[in-house]
Amino acid sequence: MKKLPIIIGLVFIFNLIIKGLFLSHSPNSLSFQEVEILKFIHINPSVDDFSFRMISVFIGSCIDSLLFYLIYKKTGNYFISFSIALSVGFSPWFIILSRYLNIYLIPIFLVVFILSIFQKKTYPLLIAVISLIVFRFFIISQDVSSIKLTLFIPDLARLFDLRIIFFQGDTSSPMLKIPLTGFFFYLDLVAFFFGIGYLFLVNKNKELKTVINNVLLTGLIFFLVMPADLLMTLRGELIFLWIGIINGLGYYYFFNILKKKSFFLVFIFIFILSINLLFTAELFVNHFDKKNSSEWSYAERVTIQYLISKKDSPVYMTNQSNKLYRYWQFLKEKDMKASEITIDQMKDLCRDPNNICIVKEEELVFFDLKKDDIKIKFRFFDGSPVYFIL
Amino acid sequence: MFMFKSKKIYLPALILILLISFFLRFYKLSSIPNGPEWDEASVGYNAFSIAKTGFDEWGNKFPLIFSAFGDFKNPVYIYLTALVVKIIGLSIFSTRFINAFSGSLLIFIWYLIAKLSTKNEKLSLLTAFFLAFSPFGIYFSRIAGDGMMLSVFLISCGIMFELLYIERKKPIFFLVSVISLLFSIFTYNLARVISPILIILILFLNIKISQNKKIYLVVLFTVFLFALLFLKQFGVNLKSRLQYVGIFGEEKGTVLRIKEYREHDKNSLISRITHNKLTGYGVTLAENYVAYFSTQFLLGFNDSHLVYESHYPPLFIAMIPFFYFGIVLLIKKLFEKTGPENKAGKIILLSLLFIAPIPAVISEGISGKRSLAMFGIMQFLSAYGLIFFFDNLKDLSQKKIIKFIVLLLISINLIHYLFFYFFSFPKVYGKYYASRENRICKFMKDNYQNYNYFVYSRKINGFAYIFPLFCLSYPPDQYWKTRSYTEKDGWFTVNSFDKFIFPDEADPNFISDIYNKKNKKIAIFLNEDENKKAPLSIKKTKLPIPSEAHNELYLYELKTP
Repeated sequence: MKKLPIIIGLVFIFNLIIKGLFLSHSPNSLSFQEVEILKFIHINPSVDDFSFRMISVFIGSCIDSLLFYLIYKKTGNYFISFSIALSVGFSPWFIILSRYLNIYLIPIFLVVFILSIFQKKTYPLLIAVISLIVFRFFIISQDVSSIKLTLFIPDLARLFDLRIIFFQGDTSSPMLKIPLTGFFFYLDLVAFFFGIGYLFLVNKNKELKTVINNVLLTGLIFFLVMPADLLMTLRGELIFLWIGIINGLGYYYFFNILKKKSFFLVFIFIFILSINLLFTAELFVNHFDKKNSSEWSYAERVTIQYLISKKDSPVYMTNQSNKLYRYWQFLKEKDMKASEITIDQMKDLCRDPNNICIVKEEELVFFDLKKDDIKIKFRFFDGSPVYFIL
Repeated sequence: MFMFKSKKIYLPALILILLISFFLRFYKLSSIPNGPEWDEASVGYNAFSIAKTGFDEWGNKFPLIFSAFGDFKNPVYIYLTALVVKIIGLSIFSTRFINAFSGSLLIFIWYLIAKLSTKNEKLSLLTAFFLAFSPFGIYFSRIAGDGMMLSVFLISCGIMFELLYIERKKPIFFLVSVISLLFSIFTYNLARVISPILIILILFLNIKISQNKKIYLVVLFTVFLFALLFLKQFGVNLKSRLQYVGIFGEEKGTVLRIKEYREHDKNSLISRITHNKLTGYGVTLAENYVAYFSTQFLLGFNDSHLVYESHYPPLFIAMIPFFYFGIVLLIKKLFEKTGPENKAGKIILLSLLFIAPIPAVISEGISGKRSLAMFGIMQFLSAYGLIFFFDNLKDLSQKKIIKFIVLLLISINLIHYLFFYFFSFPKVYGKYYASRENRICKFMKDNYQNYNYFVYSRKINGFAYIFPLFCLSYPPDQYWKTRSYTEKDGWFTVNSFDKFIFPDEADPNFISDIYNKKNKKIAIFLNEDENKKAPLSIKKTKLPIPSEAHNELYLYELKTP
């Protein structure tokens, strides 16, 4: 038992390193959800400061360490616990969730924490469900009509679709999706089947089964009560936690079988797994921001950087640039001002060369301009222009 | 089904299931779905041509592959249909007969497969029951297509005879098994991928099992003969077909994606290592493959206008968990310590499951018809998972409740499907099964003597000529004499035969030209676009079209001066 705190500490540090690497890249800009949270907790970072994301990294690492502790408590087996902690902690969906500021880490933390702390069979489940419902109706929204019972079964079927889980990810929105990647690694599919086999046909540990069933049950309840239009990654997060645990079990079982046959096979599989991991890492680092650039605020960030450098000029934009205006309100320096005006007002004001007028592509027509006529333009990270300075 | 307690009921239950299967596959076979659609018409007319003359529609004597529209149809289904056409004449019923019949018999074949591989009567009956009511089974048995259900039937026969060989060791079963699989290769394209792999697997497995080595030589010689025939076919069409339907090609999605991802990273070394054809196709193929085990396919209502998609999920929703469970269970059983005979059966069944999606995986999009070889094994595994699940439920009251729920869900799904197929489907999707072309055809048949020319363009249907050939059972020798056609990129375009003219488009120039023919009475069909452009100066009388058309269609009578 003396080893346990050390190993948990190592798991925690390992998580911190993996989740905290290059924190200002992938995603390389703010989401509006982050802005809202930062306003709420009264943190006002500069345009290039992403250190507040360490909060999520920290919570994510805590979750994984707690999960390690929970599984160890139920199995007494370091390998199973480590396999599950690795499988969940490394999953693409969990990595992304732990790399930007969001409130959706709280439900996962609550469930893992409650299941770890409370010992009796029914209480933890009950407390977890109550806390999830409290989270749903007091923190997210009290709007009950956003629950669409008729869509529950089709949505759930989509959530359990093997192609979506292991290859496609959230097909409804790319915001939290690594390109060409599902919620898990490709090879996790193999582990998933082994995990199911282990859980139902091999495992005799009832306590472990109860924990896994509880995670699934809370996941289903959470999925049911969350708004139907919420991103799949967030709505299904507890079910993904369940799948991650199954994958971890699967890897444990699979490697156990494999090592009985030959250690060489174990190495081969680990090698293939590493290639899969590197491939996903490359997709995350080099392509995540480019494929999702319109979902985040890279264009707004560079526009605001430019505006800050021209701090003496008044800035004007129409409500077409509302997204920019909202970020501006949050990221601008204290004494700077920008105004939202109509296109007619802009036509007058923009005659003055001291004024900075920002328009979007569809507004250029009102000034008889084409996008190639404009010298200063700001682009999404994928290179397509979005804001033009007249 | 899984509540039978008395063994006496097994045989009547099987007979009942088989009778229901035949009923569900033959009831209103000529009218649900509408038809014939163009491929059915082509298959039917080629069969008719063979039955009448021994030549196909292009005048080739007993061909090994039928050129048809230029899409090269496999021969087995057409020759078998020719026998039916010889007896009962050319009709939609005779064209679809072989598929409906083999689709019905398939239930019995899978009953035997289940029985041979598990020795469990309940499980075998449940497999037959699931197959009898399977949406895929009913749908694909009721269209001729290119003989896809016959091909699945032959593959299943191959497996059944191999299991029989494993059990009884009679060499004839080994030979019949391989011959069935070989014939399937000449029936539908999916078997070209699946059957060779199964044959190799069977040959490999039988090395351990077989005591009679002579049979090996006979089988190998048979395989060699068929391989020669296949090679002759292969040169004709397989490459062009792969380019046409496959994911491979410089302008296809995967290659375009590789280019895009390389550009993201300015074509750096890392981007070239991570994004190349090997990784690109690897990911696409793996993703496509997994799609066939995913809920999107297993529970997907394919709301498309394609005539070869069943528009209904292949499995009933309540069966899905048992299907997955069946897979895990069969894999686990494979690793249990048993003799090679016992293992061989399981290896064959699992191989079929994992090989079956391959023809669909290498083509674009999710396709029911290309993954049809999964039909049978899916139902077997669902039954396998379900029986095991209930046999291992110890709590009796819990068992009863779950049984009731599962039965209820399956019954609801079943009733919904039957209602869908026999009532909603013809109304909603019937229009895609060439209903417009067949209405035109009916008019031409009823008024053949009243007009000098019948005109409709390839804007209405690209393969317009096949419909009058089919519905008039037009004598092949007269067709060969009077037709005019062109060939481009391997596709044939028939421009006219007898009284029938099929221009590319019935545009104003064409209509003016045809109006210049002296003293003729012409029936001309125009689509909405052609109708708008038709010259006003020409006197034409509008005629009613029999029953409503899904796209605006206009019929005029022209009397030239």
